Amino acid sequence: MTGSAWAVASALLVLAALDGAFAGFRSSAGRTGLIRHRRGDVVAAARGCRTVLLLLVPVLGGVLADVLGGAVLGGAVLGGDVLGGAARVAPYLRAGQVMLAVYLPYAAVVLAALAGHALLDWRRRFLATALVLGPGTLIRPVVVLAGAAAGAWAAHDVLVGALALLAAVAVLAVQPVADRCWYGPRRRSRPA
Amino acid sequence: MELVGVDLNATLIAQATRLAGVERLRCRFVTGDAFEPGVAVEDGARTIVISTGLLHHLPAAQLPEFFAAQRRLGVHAFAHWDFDAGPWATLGAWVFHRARTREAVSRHDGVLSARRAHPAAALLRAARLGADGYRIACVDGPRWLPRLTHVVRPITGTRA
Repeated sequence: MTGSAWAVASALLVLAALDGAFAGFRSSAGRTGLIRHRRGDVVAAARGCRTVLLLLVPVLGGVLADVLGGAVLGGAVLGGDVLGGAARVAPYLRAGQVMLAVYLPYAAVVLAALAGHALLDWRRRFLATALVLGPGTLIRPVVVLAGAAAGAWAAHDVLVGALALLAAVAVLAVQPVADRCWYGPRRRSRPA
Repeated sequence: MELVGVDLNATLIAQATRLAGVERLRCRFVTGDAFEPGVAVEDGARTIVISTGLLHHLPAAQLPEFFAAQRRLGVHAFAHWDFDAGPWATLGAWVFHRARTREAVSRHDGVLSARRAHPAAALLRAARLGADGYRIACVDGPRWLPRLTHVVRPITGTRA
């Protein structure tokens, strides 16, 4: 894999981990009624982060099997890398670059609003929620699926497209999984 | 200074008491009618009554009595925060509750609360009627201009 392929893969993984952390936070937020809940927020974010990485294992496994399998096949049968691993990296790189083009502006706006939320007084904090974080949360599924669909389209490869869409589903599944495992009403009604 | 929280719902009071214990907060909670003498207000002249998001639960016809009860207790002052009603508050409430709440009842009630909030003029009228002898103040922003940093505003009264 080339340096740019590693960079794109790492950036997508970091964005997925961040989104997972925020999904875990959203799942836990407002559940306890406590005023001081920073520790609970950190635990929830860590759970979300772990969950998304776990849900992405099949996707990462599929990508590695495809690329490394191609490299092994190319090395063993064709005696080189041209039709093997390097050739299989290209559609992933195209898909990843397009996905980043969709996700990075969204992530930049959300992170800027979160910085504002952390630093501003409560009135302007509400403003950050009402103007950016609220609508951002509402359109998040659309952005996630649009990025994956655009990546799949750009890849011109059925397997790469399928893995991109599977990754989107994994990212969107984090909050329901966190609700079910830790924070949903049925979990909370059980005695501690 | 002593902080006392009052609600008619014993379950909510029990939960508030438990959470205050967990966080070691210096306050107490009692079940009952806050305006019943002796429930929460022991010395009216040294009491300030505050609430947030309560007024829109009262019909307009009951507002004068709400303020009159505080006058009868002789509280030093009151300040009740509620939505500055208008289309922008309704839209903001919808976005806020869609983004920050998960339960259907919360999403429904949050928007309804913004829609049924009383305008400042109605609150002022009721407060002047019920709490004679208090200096009353409440100001709404322009209805059609978004004032996103003033989503809620208080109606205040201090003994003249």
